[in-house]
Amino acid sequence: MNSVMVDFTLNGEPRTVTVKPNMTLLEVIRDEFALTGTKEGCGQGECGACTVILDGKAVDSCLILISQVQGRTVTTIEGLGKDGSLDLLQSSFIEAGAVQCGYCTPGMIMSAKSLLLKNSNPSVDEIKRAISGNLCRCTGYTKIIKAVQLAAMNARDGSAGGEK
Amino acid sequence: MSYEWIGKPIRREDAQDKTTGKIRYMTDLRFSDMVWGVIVRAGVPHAEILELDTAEAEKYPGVLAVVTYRDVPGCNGYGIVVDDQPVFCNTVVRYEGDPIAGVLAESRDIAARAAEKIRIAYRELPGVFDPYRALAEGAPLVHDGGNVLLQAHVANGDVEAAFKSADLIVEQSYYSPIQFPVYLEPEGGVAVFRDGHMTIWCGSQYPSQDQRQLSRVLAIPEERIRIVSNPVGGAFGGKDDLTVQAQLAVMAVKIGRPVKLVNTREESNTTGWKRHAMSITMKTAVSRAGILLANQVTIVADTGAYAGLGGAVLTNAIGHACGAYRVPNMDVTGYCVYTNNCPSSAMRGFGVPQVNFAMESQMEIIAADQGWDPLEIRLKNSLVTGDHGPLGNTLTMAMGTVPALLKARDTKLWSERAQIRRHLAKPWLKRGVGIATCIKGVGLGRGLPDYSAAEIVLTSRGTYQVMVGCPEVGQGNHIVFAQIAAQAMQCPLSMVEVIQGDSSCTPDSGVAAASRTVYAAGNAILLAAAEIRRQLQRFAAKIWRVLPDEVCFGDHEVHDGARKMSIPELAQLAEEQGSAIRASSLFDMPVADKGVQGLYGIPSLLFGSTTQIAVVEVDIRTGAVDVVETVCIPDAGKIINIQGLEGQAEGGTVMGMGYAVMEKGIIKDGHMLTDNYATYLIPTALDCPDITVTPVEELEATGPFGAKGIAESLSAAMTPAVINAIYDAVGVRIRQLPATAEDIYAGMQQLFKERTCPASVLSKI
Repeated sequence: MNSVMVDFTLNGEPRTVTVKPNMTLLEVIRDEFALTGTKEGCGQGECGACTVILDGKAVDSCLILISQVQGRTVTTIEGLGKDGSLDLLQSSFIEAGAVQCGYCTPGMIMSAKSLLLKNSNPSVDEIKRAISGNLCRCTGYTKIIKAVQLAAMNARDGSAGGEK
Repeated sequence: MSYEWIGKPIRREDAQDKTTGKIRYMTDLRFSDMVWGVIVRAGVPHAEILELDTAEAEKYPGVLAVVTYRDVPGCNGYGIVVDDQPVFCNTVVRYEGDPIAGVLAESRDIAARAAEKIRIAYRELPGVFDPYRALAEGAPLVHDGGNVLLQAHVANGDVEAAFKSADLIVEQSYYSPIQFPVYLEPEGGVAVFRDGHMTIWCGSQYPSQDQRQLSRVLAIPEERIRIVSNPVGGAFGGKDDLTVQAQLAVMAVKIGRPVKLVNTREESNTTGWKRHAMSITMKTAVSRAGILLANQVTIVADTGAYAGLGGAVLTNAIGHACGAYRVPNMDVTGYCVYTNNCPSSAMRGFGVPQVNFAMESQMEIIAADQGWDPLEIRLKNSLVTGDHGPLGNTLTMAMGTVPALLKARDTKLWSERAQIRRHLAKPWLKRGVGIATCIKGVGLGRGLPDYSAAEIVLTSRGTYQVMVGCPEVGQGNHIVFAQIAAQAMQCPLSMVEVIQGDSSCTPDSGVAAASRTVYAAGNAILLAAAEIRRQLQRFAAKIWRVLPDEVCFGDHEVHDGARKMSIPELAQLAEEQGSAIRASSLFDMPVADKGVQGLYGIPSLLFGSTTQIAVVEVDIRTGAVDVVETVCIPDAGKIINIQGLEGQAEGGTVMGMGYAVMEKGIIKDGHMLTDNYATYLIPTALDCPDITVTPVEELEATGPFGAKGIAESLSAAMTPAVINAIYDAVGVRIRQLPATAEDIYAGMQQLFKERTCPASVLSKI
């Protein structure tokens, strides 16, 4: 199989990979860049554990072939937070107790991030919709929803992220 | 009593690394020189293997080796109780997910492609996919010894006499389908075999058990096998027995390089351990005064192709068949039956959700028939401390059902349920309120080895390392262990480091299952902590030339009235003098005073309990049900960490709701149809109700600071609460889970016919 060369921006850095064309964005993120915060839960876009942000929109990275990200911008969980501080969503997930086994957490946060990028004051229903593609078996979603509300509130209040 | 650390909503220490993606699960690990393994699975449910040709796969570019049953160094069979499950099949395939071979290649992609080149010639055998058929004479045999894994009959009192004296007898049948655990992290990890030593990093609920099992498979001593299982991306019982460790280990022996193997979700759904499908008939007798007199129960459980913990699950279902109630006469017959289906074993509740759904439905039918308040009849019959359980043993520990029901009675959902029922968001949406309760034994029960070891070491920096074998599988026990240790040692939480789930440095603390880790490992930590304190006293006494009794403890310090020394100072001194301060402990779970001859694991003595009220809204045009709101009232004894308890309660509630209204594993002719989440549906954020968690705290004197354990009952009360709420809303009694829109709609149609047609017409419809 021939290889393809793909240029894209990953967590703010320009990157070039030369990989087999059947590789998914998820495989490239995990295997080529060793960014294992993005998880594989089902491999067919049902569970959301592999959610990343592609040009501002939450996508299942297991459903994106690597060539589709040519020239585009990808943010993974490792790309959140700045200068050693946590993103407000990360600190609010910790504070609200929204993390149990944690396997869904990065994908959940990326879906929530994509929502908050567009909507700084989402309703509970909008939050539920935004994370409805992310399965969680531990939490019953309740504290996750609260964490997203908390992050949105803190962002509106202009409070800084927590220490990393 | 007020505590510094106990009962506080302390944040989980692992939460930060989980939110940043920094934490490494076993399936995230990568080694240099690592190869990938893929398992070739049978694809047919029952067959004789005539020929296995791996030549073409071995020649595939990038393939390093192919392993088969010939490569298993020791016993080609595993299973905690019965070693009936082959690592790789030799002659017979018993279900479609059976492993036939393993392909090792430089990449997962290559291994998967090469796997398709393996040729297996089968002589297909007639399969048996229904436990009742499997019980029939002449049924195809799944194992040579017959299709019955366990047949059990347990009786106490005299049910026949009780039925004669009863004022009302309700007899019904119930069915609950296969439920999937749905841990988000699939089974997998990495194995390395070097210099006769095997290390396996793979998610598991019981590393010490894996060591024992793999020792037999690999024919190497346990102490040369290291199992690391921390953290785990969810388990819910499904990682109690081995998942892929045996295949992974055999591949690592073959290749001598690190091997990584991770199940695809399709493999996980097709092969992972499930909750048993059970058919239950229940005949329950009650007096005019509303007192339960007798319960006669038959349980038929489909355990699939291999034993797993099927026998123990059936036994536990028998032990819990009368729910949370005082039933003086009981008679339970159970069958756990092999079929050519995907194996079932442990899953959160261990047989209890099935029988509890039946029992809590019976209670509701009785209440409705007699016009009794469903909460009051439960209250009247609930087991309290000092009662005899249905198996005749004395309940000596704190029981939480009555206080929880009393609390339920005062909730708005219950006291205002008449108004809630009248609430019509739309004319076609009917609301109903249901209640249910549940008790679930904490620990493995009488007759099974149930112990927990812990170890504490004072480091030279003055911190405590607390070693516990039970892994952190998401339940949050690491923070609870830290809180218990910090409280016992009177030290800041930051001075405690909990190390879990690594058999090379953590002791055998028993399985992270059966709602047991807080109670069992928590008590083991307390024992070790007490020993550490004695050692600290002796050490300080020697320095100060006083009696050990004169040395007292302050906050992370010791003093004798005149002098004081901080623990870090003392640790430094101990280090200098070469006196190690370290303690190991072993805690044995207390057991019931009376057992059942020939059955292991019942009765339970200690119980976590949950009472739940659910509000549903049924669309009478379609039968679609929406679970709107719920109150969960758990009793875990003393709450160590309220945030953790709430989180588990919310998760358990939604899992129980999924079981009630949407989850259903479908296997047709031995083939798993629900092999991913497009077909096996679990609740999403859009499905989940508003959940309020309001615990009661019935302190258990033998528990760490009064704690018991809770994980499993948290999902088992919700299911019947939802089913009872559906009945309350539209009068349809669902006896087969899940309650689909189609079933509810058909039930409503039937009711309509019964109400509007004369009996003579109805009989012809």
